[in-house]
Amino acid sequence: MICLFLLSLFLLPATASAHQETGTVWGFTSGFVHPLTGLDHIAAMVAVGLWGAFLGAPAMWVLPVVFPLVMAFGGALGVLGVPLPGVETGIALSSVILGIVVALGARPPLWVAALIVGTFAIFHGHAHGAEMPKAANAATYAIGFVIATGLLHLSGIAFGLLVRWSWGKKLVRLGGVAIAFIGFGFLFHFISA
Amino acid sequence: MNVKKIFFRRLLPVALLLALPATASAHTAIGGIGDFFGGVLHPLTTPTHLLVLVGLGLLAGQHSPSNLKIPLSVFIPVSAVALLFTTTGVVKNIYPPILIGIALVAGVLVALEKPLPTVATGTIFAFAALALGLDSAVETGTPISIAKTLLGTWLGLILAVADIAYYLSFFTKQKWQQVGIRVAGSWITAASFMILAFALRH
Repeated sequence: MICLFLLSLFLLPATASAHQETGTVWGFTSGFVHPLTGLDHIAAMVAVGLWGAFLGAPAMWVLPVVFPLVMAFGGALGVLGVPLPGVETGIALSSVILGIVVALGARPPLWVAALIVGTFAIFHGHAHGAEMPKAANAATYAIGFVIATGLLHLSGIAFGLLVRWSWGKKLVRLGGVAIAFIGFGFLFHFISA
Repeated sequence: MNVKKIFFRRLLPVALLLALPATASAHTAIGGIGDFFGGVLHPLTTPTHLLVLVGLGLLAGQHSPSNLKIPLSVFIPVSAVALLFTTTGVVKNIYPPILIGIALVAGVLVALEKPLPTVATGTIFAFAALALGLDSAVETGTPISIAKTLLGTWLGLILAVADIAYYLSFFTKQKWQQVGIRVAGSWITAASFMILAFALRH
């Protein structure tokens, strides 16, 4: 039954998107793919999940709830054309900081963690909002990128659950180091450009 | 019968149903499926309507099956009245931020997981039914085809909310299930907020 359900998903949008890159289906595809096409976005999203899993409940679900809510605020600013300085730098910095806190296994109070994650979420949201293709359906674009962002968090949490084991804890911290390096790479790129 | 079995037996046809219009929408909104089924699928293929319906379904189903009675007993007649009112031609559609605002409110309430007084829940469902109904006007067609479409839309609205709420109410016992619902609520809130910004920009 589950296989049939999964197979049914293959019936989805192929024909519609073959004609022109506009409308409902393309809006969703475009929104869904947007967070997945930037390594800086992916690294930061996964780091949020990793850190949440590292901190345990309730942070494990509070952070992935806070992030999309604040990200939407940033996204609205982007859509409305409100300028936000240093968006790309902020996104790169988010990977650096979140990678470092995961690597160090930092355990600040929940409100501090939520504040850090929420602050960076504004930059990510602004980029998503400002870069929305003009032809895309706004509603499905927003739904697509929120779902993709949430799924990246979930993948981070899934990986982060390895902290139950001592070897897993090392692996997750190593993941944090990798994310921080990715962030540094983007940061140097933007500073030197 | 096993709840999981029931869930998948119902989920599969719904998934297939949702998969259908994507192919058809390459040419017309929903071509060749007839007025009635076009009406049934209308709320499911209109992104903002779907967002509102999922938000309402989560809101009604988040607590317990006993909490479904009031929301649905308000939603069913009010949506019928609103759909019938569209035949007068006075209202063609409603201001988009209203619908998105309702989805936003539903998403926030789901994310917060605060049980509401019955009156408040009933009011939200009444507003939602009114907005969804008024935004589903059929502009052209014979009286019979309009009647079929509106009947289909009414059933589509009810089935979407009732199915989500009813089946969800079986998955609220475990902590992770409650968390999952709240996360879904935050996603609806985020998407609604963004769409609201898009709508206001225009």
